Amino acid sequence: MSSETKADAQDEHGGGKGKQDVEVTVFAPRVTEGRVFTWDKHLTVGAAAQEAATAFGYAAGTPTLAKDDVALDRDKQLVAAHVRDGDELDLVDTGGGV
Amino acid sequence: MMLLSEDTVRAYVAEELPAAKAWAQRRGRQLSFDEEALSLTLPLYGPRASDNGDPEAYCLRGTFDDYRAVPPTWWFIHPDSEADIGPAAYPASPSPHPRGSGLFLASGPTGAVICAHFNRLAYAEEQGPHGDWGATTNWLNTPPSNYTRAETIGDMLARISLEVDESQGRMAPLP
Repeated sequence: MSSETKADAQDEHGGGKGKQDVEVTVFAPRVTEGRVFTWDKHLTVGAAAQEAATAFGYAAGTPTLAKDDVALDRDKQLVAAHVRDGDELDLVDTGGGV
Repeated sequence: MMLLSEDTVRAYVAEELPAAKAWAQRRGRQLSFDEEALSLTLPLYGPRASDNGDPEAYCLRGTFDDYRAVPPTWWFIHPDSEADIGPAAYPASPSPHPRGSGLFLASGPTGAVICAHFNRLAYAEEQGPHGDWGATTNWLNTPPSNYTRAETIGDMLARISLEVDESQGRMAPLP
């Protein structure tokens, strides 16, 4: 799996993406720039979100990905959560309140 | 007692605000920031109260004195007048909640509070419900890992916004 900033991706698009992969741009609320990630579409949302969170410098929490302002089920595979090639996703923490 | 100089607080906020604004802009939200008062205002919209109704309007306010020695102060205000109106300004968390428990509690001196480690008003020393979290200065080390976490202004806005997106109407009718 790999990631790069969106600016990099526009210059270096492609390379290493297979038929089973989806390439998406993830935005985190703590930085202004999105990053491009290439993931196997059968990866779970939670695993993908954790990888993105680590790449953005998050050390703790329960991250998930949100598409169109809807938090995706961490237990679903990306393909089952309707994550598609070219999607723009947001990283958000989904730990419970108290 | 002031914990941090105003210059220090302004530097922290200035560092985090561009990302928070970018987050809001991606959602078409009009985040406004009063530089003089160090006060942030963000309109948010929850699900429609009825099939034919408009989205429920909310308005989040945050203030940042002594940030990041302590967390910001976050609360909801009247979406039009921006007055402090207590529970009527707050979204109601869904029941059952998809993640066990929600952030919006009917608690505290105003009758409602955003209950998260990143809100000063959640701590007992600010008359909030959480004596178990210790001092507000402990906010980056609490609560336990199964609770939600947000450590920058943008992360806090995203987490509160998610909860508004999943809300079920208001805690009380608008006055």
